[in-house]
Amino acid sequence: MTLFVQRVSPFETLATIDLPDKGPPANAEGGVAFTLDGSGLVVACETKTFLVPLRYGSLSE
Amino acid sequence: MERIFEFKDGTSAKFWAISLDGTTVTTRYGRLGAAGQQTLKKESTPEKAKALFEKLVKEKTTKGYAEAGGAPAPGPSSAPTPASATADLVAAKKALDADEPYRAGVKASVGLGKVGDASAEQLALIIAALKSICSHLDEHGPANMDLYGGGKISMKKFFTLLDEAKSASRALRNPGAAAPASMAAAGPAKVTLGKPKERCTGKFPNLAMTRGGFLSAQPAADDETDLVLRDPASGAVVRKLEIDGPCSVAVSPDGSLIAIGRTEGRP
Repeated sequence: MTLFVQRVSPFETLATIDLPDKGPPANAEGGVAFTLDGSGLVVACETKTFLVPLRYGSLSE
Repeated sequence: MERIFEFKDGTSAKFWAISLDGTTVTTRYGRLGAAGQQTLKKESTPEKAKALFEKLVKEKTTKGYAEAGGAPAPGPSSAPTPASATADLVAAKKALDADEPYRAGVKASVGLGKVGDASAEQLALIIAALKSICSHLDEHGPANMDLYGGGKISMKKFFTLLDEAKSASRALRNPGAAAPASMAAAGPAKVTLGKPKERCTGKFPNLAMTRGGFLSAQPAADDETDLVLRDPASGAVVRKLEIDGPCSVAVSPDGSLIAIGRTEGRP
């Protein structure tokens, strides 16, 4: 499964990562969620659930 | 150490002084140049005495009293010295060992304006204290609030403080993690994803974040659904609820409430 982090406006991809498991079923209501403090993403794949750390920065970094 | 405040206005020239010694707050007041009168007030705990000390100083400065000598001398209302800070942390550890989490939290947070100002060591102690308090409150409700400050801090506030302390701790370990407020509108210019960490196994068709962790609705045997709340950091199960049949879940915007929809009956 590939995870994309997308900016809303302008609509562009900021980051992608390949996870070592297949994606969720087609009828899944939500396989990806941000942690409430924004420091990571929880991703439910076919058989495993991952925590993916997330760092924010500016283009100058 | 005694702190002295003066008030001069037309014909009035008076002073007011205050000192703190353990649980005793001593005040002196009178005309400038005189010894003045002294009053003592004894509180039941050093924390209460310190709170009274700070309240009285605030009252006087609000009334126009200015501290003699300009900047305040180091005293109980200033940030703790390294020595006293160390003593407070030692006291906090002892309180934790003695199963007195409220006292531990108070000691560990001496001199803090907000949780985000705490050191890593302070945060570890504060989180341990708050986890103990929140776990107890979660299990027994507000019946024993007298053990945790007698209601000075509400149940909801304890949980909020725990969240804040955990966030501050994560920010200390991973300084670039939290999104700055200035990015809120436009979003960050750059995002970096770290190495994925496996937290649990099983098929999770439905996933949402709550205040206490991440919530998954996991199909189980006999057409049941296990609604499982897990800690994101460790993947450990925090709570589990068995639902008869498939269900959908939603979490309130602040992460404090869960709504569960199923065909009929109770969860």
